[in-house]
Amino acid sequence: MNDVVLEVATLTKAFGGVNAISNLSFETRRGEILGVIGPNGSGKTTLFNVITGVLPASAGKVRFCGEAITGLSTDTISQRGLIRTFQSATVFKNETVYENIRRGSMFGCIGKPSWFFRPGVVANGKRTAKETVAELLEFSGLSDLATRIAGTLPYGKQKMLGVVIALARRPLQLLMDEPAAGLNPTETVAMGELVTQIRDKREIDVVLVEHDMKMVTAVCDRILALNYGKAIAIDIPERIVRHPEVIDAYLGVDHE
Amino acid sequence: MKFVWKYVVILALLAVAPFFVLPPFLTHIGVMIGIYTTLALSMNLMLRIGQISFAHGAFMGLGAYGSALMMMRLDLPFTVAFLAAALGVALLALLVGSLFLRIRGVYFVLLTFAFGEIIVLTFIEWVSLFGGSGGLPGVPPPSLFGYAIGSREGFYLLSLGLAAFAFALVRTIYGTELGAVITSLDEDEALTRSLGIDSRRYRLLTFCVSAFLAGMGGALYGHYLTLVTPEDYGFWVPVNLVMMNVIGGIAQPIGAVLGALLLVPLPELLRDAKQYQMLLYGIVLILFLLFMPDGMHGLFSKLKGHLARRELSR
Ligand SMILES: Nc1ncnc2c1ncn2[C@@H]1O[C@H](COP(=O)(O)OP(=O)(O)OP(=O)(O)O)[C@@H](O)[C@H]1O
Ligand SMILES: [Mg+2]
Repeated sequence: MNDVVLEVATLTKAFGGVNAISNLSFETRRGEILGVIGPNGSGKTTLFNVITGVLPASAGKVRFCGEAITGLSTDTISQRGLIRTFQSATVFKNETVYENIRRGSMFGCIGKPSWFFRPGVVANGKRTAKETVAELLEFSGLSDLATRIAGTLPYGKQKMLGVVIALARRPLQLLMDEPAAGLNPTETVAMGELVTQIRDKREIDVVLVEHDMKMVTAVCDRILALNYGKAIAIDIPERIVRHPEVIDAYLGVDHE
Repeated sequence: MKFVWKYVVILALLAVAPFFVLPPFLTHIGVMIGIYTTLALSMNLMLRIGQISFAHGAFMGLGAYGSALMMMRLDLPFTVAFLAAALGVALLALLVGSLFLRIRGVYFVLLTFAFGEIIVLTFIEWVSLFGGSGGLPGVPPPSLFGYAIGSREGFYLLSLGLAAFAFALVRTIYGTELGAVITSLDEDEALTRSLGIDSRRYRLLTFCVSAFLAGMGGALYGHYLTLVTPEDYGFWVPVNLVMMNVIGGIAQPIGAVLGALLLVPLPELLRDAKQYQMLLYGIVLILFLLFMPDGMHGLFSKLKGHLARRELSR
């Protein structure tokens, strides 16, 4: 089983007496796009927060590329190559699009102040950042907006930029929290294509939290359905959309 | 290179001023401006990470007492005492910072405020070391390369040198990747951390550098006044430093310089009307916060932009 990338084992996260994540286990495989669906408040964002060390787990383990990452700090987990994006547009609002992507690339090299003293780190980092920005501007189609201040962009472009910043960080696996939320239909289609390209062209694994079922079923290899922090099912899209419990808990009420 | 020359020329003009044009009283104000520029720059670093520190009065005081005591009690030369005091303050910041910096916002302000009060209380109560509320009189003058610097002009040069050092340091920090990290932490900490930045260590580093500058400013202040008293290092210090930054403009280090330039002369000029001083401070602060949130530097940039546009439209 050496093609397992992310391994979540009996994970629980309690807020007060309520379990936002409850005894959850699943794993992702190399080259896979795993979708995560579930009603509002079913614990999708919490799952990302616990995996990336933003919140401590109440119980259970997370392993990434074979190594335990439970209890590690967010920046350490990020250094391992597990990067997340945010549900709301999360960019450096006062900086240009260019600078946003540049920071995404640069910050990995200077995670701790002492790394400044490693020979060549800053110079190499800058060189890499320059190439990365140029390449990603092209890849994402944001080239024309490179000099714009990020906070002045339309919401959809800011969401796109949020993903590109994370890509600049060169993840092994990308955890995407509702990249299409707040996007118009055209932008949603473009985002879906971007997610596919991230896996196909950049060979980055993806875990995709998304409400837009058309996008999820089109893009994902398998889907994990959550309800009240518990897994109802994990399966290929065709079977998930017919799963009675999933229809009951989620699709029946929310699906168009 | 061009901008460096600009600063060299300004610095040279400022350095020779007291010997030709400045009357002694203005030279005195010049010394104070240099010291407060250093301190305001130190606060600017904290404002950059979005954590207003009320420990900076204590840091300044510890620099002053530390340098004075090391010269008086341990007979250390000025340069050693001065640097050791500032480094000691930075070390203390490292210790308390690893605890305090976990806390954010108003709670951090309160925490550092309490810390500052404790330190000032220690200055007052530990009479055998710090001399009680009467303070430490007879602080020896600095000496550099064997020359004692007792004259006002000598202090002016030292103070100018210190301010220039602080300005260059802060500007360099902001101009490099370190500055990008520090700004990012304030702009969006969650995003910055998810990109792999150890925010705790960067905040701690910023706090230590800031404390180091405050310690140096305080040390020079003590030697200049030749008297170190506890009440000089209370919570009005950080209040003043924040005001200087707000009035000068937080976004650029030059704002701290402008703020010191404007606010330091006020109490000296208003000596006969001390009771109005705080009132005036208050009014000035309110006006700036309401109408010029980017401070004087922001105003200058706007004016520049305005003039440039007028030029174009001609
Ligand atoms: N920091 C927190 N403190 C307390 N409760 C929290 C916290 N974060 C999330 N919760 C609770 O945990 C539950 C799961 O929330 P979460 O944000 O993970 O849901 P979600 O599946 O991402 O929902 P959405 O689709 O609306 O984004 C909710 O009941 C929420 O109120
Ligand atoms: Mg969510």
